[in-house]
Amino acid sequence: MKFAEVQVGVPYPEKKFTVTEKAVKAYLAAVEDDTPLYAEERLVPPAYAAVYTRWEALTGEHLEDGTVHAKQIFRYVKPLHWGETLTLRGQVKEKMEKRGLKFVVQKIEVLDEAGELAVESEITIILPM
Amino acid sequence: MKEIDKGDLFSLPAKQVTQDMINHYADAAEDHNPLHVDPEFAKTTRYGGTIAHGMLSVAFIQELMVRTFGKDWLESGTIEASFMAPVRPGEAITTEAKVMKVTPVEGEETKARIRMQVLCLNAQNEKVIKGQTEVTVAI
Repeated sequence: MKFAEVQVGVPYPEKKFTVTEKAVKAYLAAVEDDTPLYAEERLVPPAYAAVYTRWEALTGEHLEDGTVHAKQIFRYVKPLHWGETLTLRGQVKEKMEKRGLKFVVQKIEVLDEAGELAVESEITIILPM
Repeated sequence: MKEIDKGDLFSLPAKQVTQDMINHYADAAEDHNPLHVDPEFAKTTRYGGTIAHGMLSVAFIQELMVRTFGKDWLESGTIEASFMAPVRPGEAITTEAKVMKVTPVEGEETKARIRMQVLCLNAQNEKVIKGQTEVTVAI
């Protein structure tokens, strides 16, 4: 992602993302979270939004090595379940240079299989120098 | 659920963040930014070595929220987290939340919106993540 080429307000094409049981279990093991609710009700942990709202998941663009995550906002509206296929849509909300650093704010909306809004994400990244 | 009041504190036991944990998180989160997993690359950055993904610590905050509020968090939670300092392999991270405000939901006398300040702290009590969460619960 080259800062000069980042386009603000231009929607990316929608993408699909399926949350598999295997991936959820691997994620929970990695963060060492054994909260029983997830297995009891086959629920996707809200923190897993970090995976399906990655910029690469929506755009296919690889963020440059050394990109730093500065801030994250998530808003949860509906629970998601193992095996569900999500629809991702998003765009760059703003970009700015501050204190010699290049910031990009990306907004992603996640729809559940019924097409209803389930999660909103806003991520602020700092591009490498 | 027991009544929640301003000033209430919730916390998770400390989690040891090892390079192994970081590597497993990289696989599970499909994020292999070498800043997290490649010590040789990470040495060349301003961090001087690998650091954990910021979202790993955010996962700790979310675990605290779900353990405390259950499905209410998945249906109404919001989190805003800023990454204040890197978490380096070998550090133990504690996670805590303090209730700052309890506001009845207008038109729904059996519900309240809880606002919390959340922190992830390293062993030196330095903030690695600072943020705010909100959730709607039955009262």
